[in-house]
Order: sequence, then structure tokens, then C-alpha cells
Amino acid sequence: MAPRRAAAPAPPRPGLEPYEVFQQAKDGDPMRHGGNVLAPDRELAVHYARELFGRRNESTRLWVVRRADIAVLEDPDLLDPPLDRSFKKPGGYVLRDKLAAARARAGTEKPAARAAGHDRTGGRRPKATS
Amino acid sequence: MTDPLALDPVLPPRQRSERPWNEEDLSHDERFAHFEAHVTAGGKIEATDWMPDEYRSAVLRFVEMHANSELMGVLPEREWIMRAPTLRRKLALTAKVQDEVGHAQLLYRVAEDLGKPRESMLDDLIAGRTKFHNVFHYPTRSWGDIGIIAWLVDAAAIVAQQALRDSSYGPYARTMQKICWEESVHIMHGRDVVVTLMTGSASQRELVQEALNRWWGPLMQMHGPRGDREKDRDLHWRIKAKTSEELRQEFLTIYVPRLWELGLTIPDPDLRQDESTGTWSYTEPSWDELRSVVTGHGPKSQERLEFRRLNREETRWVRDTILSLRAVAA
Repeated sequence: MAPRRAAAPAPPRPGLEPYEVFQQAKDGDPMRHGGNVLAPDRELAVHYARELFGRRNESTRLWVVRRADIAVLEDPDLLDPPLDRSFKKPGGYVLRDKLAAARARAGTEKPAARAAGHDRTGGRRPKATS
Repeated sequence: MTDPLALDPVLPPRQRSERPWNEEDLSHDERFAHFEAHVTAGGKIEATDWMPDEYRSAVLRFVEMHANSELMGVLPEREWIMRAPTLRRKLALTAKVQDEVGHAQLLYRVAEDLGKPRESMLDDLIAGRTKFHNVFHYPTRSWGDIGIIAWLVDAAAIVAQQALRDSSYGPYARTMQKICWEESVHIMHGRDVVVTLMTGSASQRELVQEALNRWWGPLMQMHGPRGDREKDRDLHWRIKAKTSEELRQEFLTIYVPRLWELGLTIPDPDLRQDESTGTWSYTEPSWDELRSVVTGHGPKSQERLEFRRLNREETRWVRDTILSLRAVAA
């Protein structure tokens, strides 16, 4: 399926068109959609965006994009297929009961202190041998 | 042995974001029903969604009135920029006026995307066919008014505006987040003006009390008469979240104690809070005055509309120049 173009309502005035404005609050932050302005060309759209979205040090960077140039994909069959995707998420793996069974089988105790792991289970790291 | 647990989905299926009201092959009634079910269940609508005319015109009317109020609301304060007592106050007041015009710009953009051109909205405003908030139809007589407006008018407005951050119309809800953030600065500025005056001389304190006496009536009218929750279409469509009376009660609960704290007297002998329910009772606001004022019969209604008309004429050459430049380039 080809992405469709943003369905823009009829332009309110001939010669003007909407530009979408994205703003970055501080260096390293994601660009977030702020709103839009109506302008006759890109240069004035940038001036306008500066007035409305960069007046009080709330942005380190603005992206100003002609709305007609934005391709939109919102087909739920592609983005949100009705399948179980839990295996793609950390929350899709529930280990508690299985860990307890494994400990019972190995005859070990649950580690007292939770060492930092990367799999959100705590886990035990081998002790450094001296 | 295969662990049956390893095969079962462990996360509940997520609600898919189906938007069936956009299906062009459904009948109007089916699309309407899908749309209404989505909105009344708390779903959001975007500018690119199909929407029934009833919803589109209700959001448009609401946002247009809000935009008009921001645009007209700067006029009473603008009169005091040249008379501000210090440079810092002048800077703050200028910034506030700039912010409010910016809010009007953002809101007119939301309204334009719903299909009404900005030129028509300004035509209707100047001709008195559309309304703006009652509080902007009154004169400002002293610097005390500037404190009361920036603190209490903006506070009464933000009580309503915070509830609008949950509006079913996504572009409006997101715009309100930005607007509320800026309004919170205005309230601090206004409260600072009032508290500073209240720590000053007897005549400065009298200035604030006199301003409060004049503004209390319009403030109590501002959210409008009590309405029937069941019959309110804007509530049904979740364009707004709270009734007029809920907003007024919320305003009183927060701000009456803060006014009393400063030693100010609220000019309503019947104002009191029920200790068990927390509900405020008060003298019935003058709804006749509200109706008369918002239909263009306030003390400053015509003068301020005339200012807007003149201002629009004087700046027409800018718009014409920009549009003709575009025509030449094309």
C-alpha cells in the first residue's frame, strides 16, 4: 500500500499553505510536533514559526515542513496487525515461576541483593575469583 | 516436554486504532455511529479524520470564540504598556500581550483547518456576528486592574483551559497544552503585581480593592450560567470536559482563600463555602449583564471592535504585499 499524502482540508486562502512545525527543546531531545503555521513560502513560514514556537527559549531547533510534503501511513493492517507480538517486548517473558522451578531443581537460593542486569530480572552474576 | 505457558500470549492484545468512520463505503449513519462511539469513549479526532458536520461546527464555534477572546483580550492590557510603573513590568506586560496574540494565531490555525478562512473569522468578529469573552468588554481604570486581569481573569480562564487539554479534538487539546504553559506565567505576573501593591501604601491597597470590586461581577459571570449537563452538546462531544458551574466552583475554591490571605474583601456578602460539601454559594451573577455585554453592548465593546477594524485596515498592505510576492514568484 502506498503511503497517502496528508489529507489537507482546502487551503483557507489562495497563496497560503500550512507548514507543520517540529521543535527540539534542548540539544539531544527528540523533535516533537509543536503545531502549524500558514505562510506563502518557506522563508516566511520559518519566520512565523520562530515567533510562535521559539519566543521564550523553548526550542534549540525548529523543523518547518510543508504539510503537503508529509507522507502519512496510518493503516492498522500494517502498523498494528492483529497478531500476538509480545515476543518482541520485554514484558512478553514471564520468568518468575520458571525461575523458582529452576532454583528448586538446582537446590539454590534466590540471590539476596539484586545486581543490576540488563534483562530486568535481576539475575546473578558469577563472582570474580581471586 | 513443551511448556504450554511458553506458547500462550502473555500480554493482552492491544486495542487496534481502527478508524471506521473514515470508511467511505459506509453509510453516513454508520460512520456517524462509529464516530460518536469513539468520541464518547474518550477517543481523539484529528484534522484529517472524517467528522460529522455537527461535530465540526461545534468545535469550530468553540475554538473561534476562544481565538477571538485571545485577540480581543490584549486590548485592555495594551492600554497600560506605556503606563507600566517599571521597565520590568513593561517588559512583562508586552510579553503577555505578545503571548495572547500568539495564542490567537495558534487557535485561528486550528479553526482554519476545520474549514473557515481566517478572513471570514475576522470579518465576523468585527461585524459582531461572533463573540468574545465578557471580561474583555470592560475598561481598565488603574494599574490595579492590570494585576486583577492578569491574575484572576487568566486564572478563571486557565481553570477552563486545563480541562480543555483533554478535548476530543486532538489539535485543540495539544494547542491548549502550550497555551496553559504560557498562561501560568501570566498568572504569576498578575499575582506578583497584586501582592506587590498589597505590601505598599494604603492608597495602593485601596487601588487593588477598588479594582477587585469592579471585576468581581464579570469574573463570576465569565464561565456562564449553570447548564444542564445532559443537554450540553459540547460536553457530549467531549470538546470540553466540565460544566460552567464546575469551573466556577473550582475557581472559587482556589482563589477566594488567596484573596482573603491578602486582606482583600470580596464584594459579595453571600459568598460562603459549605464546610461539609466544599460547595460555594454566592449571590446570583447578573446574567442579563452577561448577555448584554457579549452581544456587543458592553462599555468598551464597540470601541475595541473599532480598534480591531482600524488595525486590520492599516496592516492590509502587509498581507497584500506578501500574497502578491507569492503571485509574482509563481
